[in-house]
Amino acid sequence: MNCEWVRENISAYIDSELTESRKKMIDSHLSVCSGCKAEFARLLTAWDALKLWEDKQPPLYLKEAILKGIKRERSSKLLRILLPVAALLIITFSIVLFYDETNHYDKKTLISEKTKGEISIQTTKGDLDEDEIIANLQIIEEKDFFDSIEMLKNIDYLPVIENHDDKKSSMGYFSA
Amino acid sequence: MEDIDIDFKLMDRVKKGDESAFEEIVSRHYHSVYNLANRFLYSTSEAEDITQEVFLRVFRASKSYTPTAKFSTWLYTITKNLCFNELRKLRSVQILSIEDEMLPEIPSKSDNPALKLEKEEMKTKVREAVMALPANLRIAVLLLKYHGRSYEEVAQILGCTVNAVKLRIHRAKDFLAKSIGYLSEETK
Repeated sequence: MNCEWVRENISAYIDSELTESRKKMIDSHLSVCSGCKAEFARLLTAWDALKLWEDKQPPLYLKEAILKGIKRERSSKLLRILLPVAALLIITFSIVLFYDETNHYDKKTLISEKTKGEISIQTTKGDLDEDEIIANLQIIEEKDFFDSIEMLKNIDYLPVIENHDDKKSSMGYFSA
Repeated sequence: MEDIDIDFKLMDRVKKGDESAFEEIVSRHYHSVYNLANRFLYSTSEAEDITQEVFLRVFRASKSYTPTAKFSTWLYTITKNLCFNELRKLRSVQILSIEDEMLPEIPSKSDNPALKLEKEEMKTKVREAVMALPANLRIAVLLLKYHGRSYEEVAQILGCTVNAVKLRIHRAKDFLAKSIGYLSEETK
């Protein structure tokens, strides 16, 4: 063991980073070598002096600022997830609504009796109620029925249809 | 060992979305992060910004965090990287590798700010001496001396070998001994 080896390891010796055997070797060398002992004292004094630069207390608001930053990060993260979902939902909803409107517009008819004896057909937007449709159909049926009766009242006779085999058949008379 | 376990457990809770766990992590470590950044850059405002950024990065990485090393090692690595980025921005300092790294000249009487303020306290001398260290040596000194890291941990944080750390620390001590000794004589 020589002085060069000791000086190479003296810094690690100060930091207690040497193995026990190496530490003992340096211990014994320092007890006999004044030059290495002086070098050890020089480095140790400087190293110990660093303790004078004490820790600084972080400002009180720093912790709060860190946590606020994290909160902002959390909300922006949430927004990054929610925004595309919301946009997708809005787009889907708009498409469905538009499709529904174009397909059903003018298809629904509302038939109502405007004046006595007259049937008027109206084209409207919106859904038709099932009961309403049935009611409208009944009006049409009834109207046809009564029209037929009116027509029959004005007929004096029923035409006779003659067959080739001279057989006559009559539809008969119908009177109200 | 218990401290390591606490950090791992806290990070596991953060992973699961526990806000209070993250607050606990901040409480446990923001003091150290702030002081490392402050001593390295010697700027409280920069140190505050870096501390905030460090924890923001920890939070962002929490989902993918896997405990391969000590939590504090990871935390100091992030801090070191941000400090070096800041230093590059502030001073356009070129970070040299340990092989090319040249120690600066011992400051002369005329250009040393500590000497401009005559009879300045030893505290200031020490601070000036540390700040005069090249960045690669300074960060090693700060981690070892003020944050109680071992050579091995410093090597992990700096991404170099243990021998490189040993060499850096030795050179730093030599430089500090010269600087502090020199300043002490001058201010007598």
